[in-house]
Amino acid sequence: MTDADDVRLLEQDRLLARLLADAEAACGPAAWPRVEAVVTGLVELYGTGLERILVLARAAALDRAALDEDIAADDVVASLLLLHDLHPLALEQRIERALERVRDEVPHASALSLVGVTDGVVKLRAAQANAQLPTTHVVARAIEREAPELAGVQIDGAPPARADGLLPVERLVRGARA
Amino acid sequence: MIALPTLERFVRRAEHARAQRAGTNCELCGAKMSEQHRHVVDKTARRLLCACTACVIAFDGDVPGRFRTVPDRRRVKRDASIDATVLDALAVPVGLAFFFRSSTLARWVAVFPSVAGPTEAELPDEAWAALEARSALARELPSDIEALLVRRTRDGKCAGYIVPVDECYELIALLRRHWRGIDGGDDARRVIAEVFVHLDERCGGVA
Repeated sequence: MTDADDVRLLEQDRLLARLLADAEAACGPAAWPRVEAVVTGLVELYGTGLERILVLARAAALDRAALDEDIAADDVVASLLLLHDLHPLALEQRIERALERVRDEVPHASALSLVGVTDGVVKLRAAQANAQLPTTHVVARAIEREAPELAGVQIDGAPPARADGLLPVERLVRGARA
Repeated sequence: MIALPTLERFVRRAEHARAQRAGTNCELCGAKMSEQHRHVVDKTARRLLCACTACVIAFDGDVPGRFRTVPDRRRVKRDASIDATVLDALAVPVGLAFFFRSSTLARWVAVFPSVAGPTEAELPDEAWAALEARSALARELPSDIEALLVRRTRDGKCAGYIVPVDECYELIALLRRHWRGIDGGDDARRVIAEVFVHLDERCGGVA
């Protein structure tokens, strides 16, 4: 898992967005739905392919848990699998991993526990009242790393961080490189 | 891991399409059918129903009763008799409308695009009489299943086409997605222009 992979993947997604905007402008609103249908069909086909590969790999794996971990650790593969709802680790598992990372990064912070996920917002609670907490930003960054599909993080009664799902990715990548 | 918003858009569309495919049933008999299907018109409700091949065949032609199959898409004819005088009589403003004869109402029905989707309108009987006096294609138009689709551009050019009625409703649904403001805006006008270029091609080029 490297930040370079993240950047490359994000750049490819943006390039795709630009190409699509170009194509939409060029072909006009009557032809555009057909182009969208073609792209949708291709994305669906590749998604089906990813699913089959995953099923075959897991069936053949000597150590399935290790395979899932390797897949989760590869940013490109994991991001694409997540997109197709095929990520081998459940959302709760990934949030727990993020919380472990926070504990590693901010060792003096009190442990946070997962309360639940509602409408894309993770609710967390401090293990002890009045405990010293890592900032919401640090937690949001860690959770974003493991679960970019989520919309925000809420700790105890604090206002949710990351209202939109796109901007913080840049912040994450820049932050990681800085 | 990172979110890929552009790709995600298409993944969600694919999921939606898959859900629709799985749930596509003939609205007459309930049989499973493919995404590519034809339509049967419900003359009483003036509504289109997605139909499987068996039902399309069963209700094809001049059959008595509530349902009738909409003809195949290739049937498009240009009605050269449509001009500004006719459209004035039919009270068609700048833009687009389609007209069909409803066997249930025993009269012509006008349908206009709007922000709310297809909007039916009642027009005076003289208007229909004028149209039928003028247009042989309109006189012969089979009830319920085919329509006269007309267009008037801003520079006053008028055109009329005999088109299967499901295609008219699909055009209005397409327009609704591009509709802005009261008159539809540039986007809607571009859609209309493209659709009519395509209609001209299917009629065998511009007259």
